[in-house]
Amino acid sequence: MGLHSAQPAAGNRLAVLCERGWNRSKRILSNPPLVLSIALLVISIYLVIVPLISVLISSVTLHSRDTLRVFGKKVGEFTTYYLKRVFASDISDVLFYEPLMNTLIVSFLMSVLAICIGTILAWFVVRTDLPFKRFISNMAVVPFILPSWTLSLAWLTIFKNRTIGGTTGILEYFGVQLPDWISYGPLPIIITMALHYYPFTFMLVGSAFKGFDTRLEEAAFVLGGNQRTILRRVVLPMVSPAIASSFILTISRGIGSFSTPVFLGNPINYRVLSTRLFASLQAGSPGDAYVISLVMILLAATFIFISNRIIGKRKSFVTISGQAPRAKLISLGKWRFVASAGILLFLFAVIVVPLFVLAADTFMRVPGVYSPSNFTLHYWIGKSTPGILDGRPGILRDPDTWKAFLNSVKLGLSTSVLSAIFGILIGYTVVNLRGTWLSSALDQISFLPYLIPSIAFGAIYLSLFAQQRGPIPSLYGTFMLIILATTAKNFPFAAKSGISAMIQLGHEIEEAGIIAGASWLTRMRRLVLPLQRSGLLNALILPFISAMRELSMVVILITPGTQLLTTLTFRYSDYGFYHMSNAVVLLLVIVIVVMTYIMQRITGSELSEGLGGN
Amino acid sequence: MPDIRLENLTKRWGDVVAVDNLNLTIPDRSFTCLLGPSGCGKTTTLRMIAGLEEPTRGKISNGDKLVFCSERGLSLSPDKRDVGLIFQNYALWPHMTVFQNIAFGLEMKKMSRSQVEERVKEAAGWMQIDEYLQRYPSELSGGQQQRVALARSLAPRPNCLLMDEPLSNLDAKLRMDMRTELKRIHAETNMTIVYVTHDQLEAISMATTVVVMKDGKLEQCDEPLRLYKYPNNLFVADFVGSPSINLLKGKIVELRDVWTVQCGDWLLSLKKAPYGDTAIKNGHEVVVGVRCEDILISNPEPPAIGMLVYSNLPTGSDTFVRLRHEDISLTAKLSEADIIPTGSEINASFRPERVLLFDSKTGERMSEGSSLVNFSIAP
Repeated sequence: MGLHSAQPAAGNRLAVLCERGWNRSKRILSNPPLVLSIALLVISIYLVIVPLISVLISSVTLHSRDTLRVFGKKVGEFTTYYLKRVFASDISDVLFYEPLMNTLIVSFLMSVLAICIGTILAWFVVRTDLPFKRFISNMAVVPFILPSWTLSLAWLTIFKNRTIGGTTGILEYFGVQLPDWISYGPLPIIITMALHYYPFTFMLVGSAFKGFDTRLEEAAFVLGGNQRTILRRVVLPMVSPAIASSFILTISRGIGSFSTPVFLGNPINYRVLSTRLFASLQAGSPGDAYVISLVMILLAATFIFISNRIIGKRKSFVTISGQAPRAKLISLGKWRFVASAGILLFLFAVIVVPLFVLAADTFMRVPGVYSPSNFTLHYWIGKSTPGILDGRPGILRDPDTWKAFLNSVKLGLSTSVLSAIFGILIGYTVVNLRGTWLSSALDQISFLPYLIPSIAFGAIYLSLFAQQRGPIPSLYGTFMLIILATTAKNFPFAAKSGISAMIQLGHEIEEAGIIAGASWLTRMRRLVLPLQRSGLLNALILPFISAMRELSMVVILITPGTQLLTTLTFRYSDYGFYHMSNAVVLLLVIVIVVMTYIMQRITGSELSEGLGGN
Repeated sequence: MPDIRLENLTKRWGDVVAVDNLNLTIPDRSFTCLLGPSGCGKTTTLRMIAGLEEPTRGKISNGDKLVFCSERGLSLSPDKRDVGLIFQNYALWPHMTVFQNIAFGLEMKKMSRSQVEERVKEAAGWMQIDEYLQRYPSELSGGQQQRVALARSLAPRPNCLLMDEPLSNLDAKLRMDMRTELKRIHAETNMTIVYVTHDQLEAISMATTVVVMKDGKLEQCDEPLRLYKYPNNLFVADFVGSPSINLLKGKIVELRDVWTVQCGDWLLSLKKAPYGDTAIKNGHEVVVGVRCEDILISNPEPPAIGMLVYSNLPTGSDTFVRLRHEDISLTAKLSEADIIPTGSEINASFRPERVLLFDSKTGERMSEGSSLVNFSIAP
């Protein structure tokens, strides 16, 4: 300590200043959370902010194919051509206003339906003495795990009519004439999307019901309210924040949803913003697509902004902590088995029937002929036969399937691992540097992808990485790009769970290590990470599932070399090979369910968070 | 003498000043309590001494070792400051056994296995937790966890032990036991202990030096009994002592050798001119402070004055009696468990040498304790 205790010579201000600067910079460089946070900031700016700026720029700069339409401008120059085209030209209606209206109508009605289903189910499972509730609560979240378009394909398999030619659905086979509005368009889109998204409400409202202090209910009961009045005037208003946040969560997902409208809307040219965006990209008008992405981002951001205003800061992921007194369950009396049977029937119709219908479809030699002699395994294990589906072999024999399968698993694993690491590190630095601008910048930036609908996120990445620009390499066509995009899209969830895990851990655990003289690496290795293990594994499941069934975002970024199971289904159905796409969806469902089951076994957690109770 | 010295220590978070230009010397081998209401900056001060929080400005030295100096951008890391720290929630590592918890700091000092084992045993023996060494913290009671936390901090033998409200999570009986235990540790180890608490009773009963803080500023630093008898200002007077000190608003009506203070229709004549300050004039507003045990009832020497008994609060050993006279209300302590019937009239007086006089505007105490010479009703 001799050096430090030496008093600086009087009047030698420069020496003092130099020493201060030297000592300070030495300390900053040896402060791992600080260094780490700067690294994370650079990464998240690179993966989130830069792409956002890029899409902004791309929507107002001239693309090469439009040089002939805009006189006197060169590629890359500023232009309002795309803005005018989308918002104020004779094709604006087709390009923008109609899809916008459709998007709003579909997402709104779909959310309302999903909220109703989810809330009713949650109420029955959490608040009543429903039989088989454990099984019901586990099954109720399954539609969320399945790829969102499973239901769309199943819908087509049952309700498809002869409008667009090709095979018809089961009902037409039995001679039922179906109008277009049942087979395609808004109605089926709303229904199938609601059936996919209601588990959000089920989980959020369910945990609100669970954390609900039943003494409030009892107070109303003592004051003479009957069961129905209490439900209407006490219980529902109390869980309304959870309902509201489920609504926002659902509607903002709905706005960005791509796969369902593409399967059920495209056949009759019913377009929403996401499918319009995709069509523009395919038609080679990226400028229009980027403008539409901006609108979608604004739309989703507005909804989330409103919800934060109403509900308070970021209650989108409700977590109930603390112990409410054990809830007294409402007795349904003789209706309990009726209710249970009704719910089981509903779940049967939403989960088993679609999967069964899809499966049955893949075992039929000639499409649309529903007789035992028509049974075949060709679409699964058949050899290539000229004349059947352009000579494609059964999917289990097709190297394309296996390549896509490997890619999907690779994507799921790498995304979930990267997200988990990112989540832990973000959590660690944000909590550690709390109160500094670095901490809040990291927190805010990692939240941004939440505001961006998936397909717009894909478009953004396309615009940034399509060609080399300075330090940003051209990643289009690489698997790396798909991993990066999926991981970045997962940032909000990862950061959220990382931060809450770290807050729960508390800073004292690490500080006790600092006092004991442990270096940063030792502290991380021996104190922080071991305590995060269960949280870490938990943080792996959701990103894995969502990466496995991701279509909206990757559909834009995929190339033949980087095919995934999801995009493979999409391509087969595009070709009209419904058997193949159904078979691939089933394969995907099996992979997801098995992986989810394994991961839940390892981590000992359940998606339904034990809403059914014991 | 390795005193811990804080010079001009300031900690700001944005516009919030948590610690404001604190100058303080914590004597070597003292048991120093940082006392104050929540948010007064006591925990922040402790964390700055430990090195977990970086001061905005100032200097901290431990003996002749400079551990922090904002001017030179110098800040030693906590492990080089030779301190131990006990957290309010103990911060035991839940995934390690008691043995591993205690051994961790020793391993960080690169001690040999046998040495580590020896030191762990020693510390565990001290805290009487030998039999729990293989358990996990979650398998221990709150009191046992507290002992483990102490053993963990003591094992590396720091020269200074910092504690942040260590007893606040324990129930009343255990707290009493641990206070005794902490005093024993202090006596046996010769360590300097800096102890943060908001419980004035805890501070008075344990400390050798009490530091009272408010809004990040030092209010008074003294030995506990002096602090109790001669609080520097109204804040300290009111904060320390339970029940709180009786405070009577009044004004000076006569300034000679003897000052006369009027409170309501009482006239108190106090000998010994405080300060001899010329700025004090007739009509100066003051506050008279009297602790409840300094109100004499049972056998008041004259001059005494009549009061009504308003209520009785017996505690078993003593009884607190609420007395009233017009708008004046006082709490007195009867050391024997006498109960004077409510409504009865008694004669009360103050212990002459224990009447405190404060300037009502600045809150500062105006004298080293005054002596009451007369106590009467204004004509």
